[in-house]
Amino acid sequence: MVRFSNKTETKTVQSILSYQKIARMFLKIGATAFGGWSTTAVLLEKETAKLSPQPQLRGAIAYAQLLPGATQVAIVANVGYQLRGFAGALLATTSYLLPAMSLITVFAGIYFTYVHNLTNLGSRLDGLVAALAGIILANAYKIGEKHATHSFLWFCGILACTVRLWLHINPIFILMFFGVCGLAYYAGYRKGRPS
Amino acid sequence: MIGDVITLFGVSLFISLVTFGGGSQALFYQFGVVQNHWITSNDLSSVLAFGYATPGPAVFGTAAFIGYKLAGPLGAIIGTIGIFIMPFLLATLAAKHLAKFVDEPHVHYFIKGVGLAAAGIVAATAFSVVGVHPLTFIQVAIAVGSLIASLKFKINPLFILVVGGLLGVVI
Repeated sequence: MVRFSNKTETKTVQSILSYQKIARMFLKIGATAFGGWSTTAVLLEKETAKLSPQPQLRGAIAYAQLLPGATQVAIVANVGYQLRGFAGALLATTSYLLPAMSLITVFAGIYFTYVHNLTNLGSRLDGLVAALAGIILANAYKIGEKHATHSFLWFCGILACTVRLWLHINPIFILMFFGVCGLAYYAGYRKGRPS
Repeated sequence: MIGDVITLFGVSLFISLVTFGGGSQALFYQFGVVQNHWITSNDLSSVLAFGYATPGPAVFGTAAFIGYKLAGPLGAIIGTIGIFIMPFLLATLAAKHLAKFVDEPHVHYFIKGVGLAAAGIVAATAFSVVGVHPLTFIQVAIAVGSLIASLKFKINPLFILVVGGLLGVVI
């Protein structure tokens, strides 16, 4: 089991770690962090264990999960900020993303040059598309499970799916509407109206 | 082309702002495949499979991939900046100023609402992805099998995609 520091607040460590060392550390993590954000967290904990004072990884993870977008990027940016302020955050994030971005760019180059235009490829990828649909559906359930702490909130998720699928309403409006529904639910919850 | 790249930047920015805990691939499907026709469902499946096989977050790989399709390596860089700039700025702000703000219960409930709406949109996208053509029994079986493999057995998405792809070719 991974054990993180007990400190939960994020403060600036502003250690004496040089920019060069930050770049090298996050390049290494970016090149080896396969899988979800937890792999990145484990590698970060290992890499920062030698530093004194240590950046507060647990706080970075806690806040990253509350923020939108890729959790890994938020964790890396937060830790980078603790190490050397804004410049440290920028350097850490860029270094972290560089290996994967290079690989994707090379893949895209090969794909769009040699694979994309193969005329008989369409039906051969049906299995891949079906598998993708299954994974997307599983992700939808995982996201819902994370946020739906009350039955009313599950209802919101199902309603959002229905509205999107049959009425084709723009996702932006759906997201904002249900965000406001969440706020309204909180206001009602405080007054003790919902059971 | 420049207009498309600017749109991609805006789309990536938006996706990075509204995806709490995942679901970005569904929004890339909506904006990249359905709405703007930048890539096809097959392209998206291929890049996601590759994205799961590379280090770092798979989500930004999709932005870089679409960017490359639109404007080569420069497009890939712009797509990547679009997808990571907001999480980066918010995380940096969280480290400095946002700590108290994100602890507010109002914010938690707003995030819950947005997160659930995102889950609903993601689910709708899953149906749209396979619903473009009439489904064969094999496709339904692969989709259901992938759902169970991912949810129940927590199997790596890359493995699921590879097996699903091979089954589609062989059967």
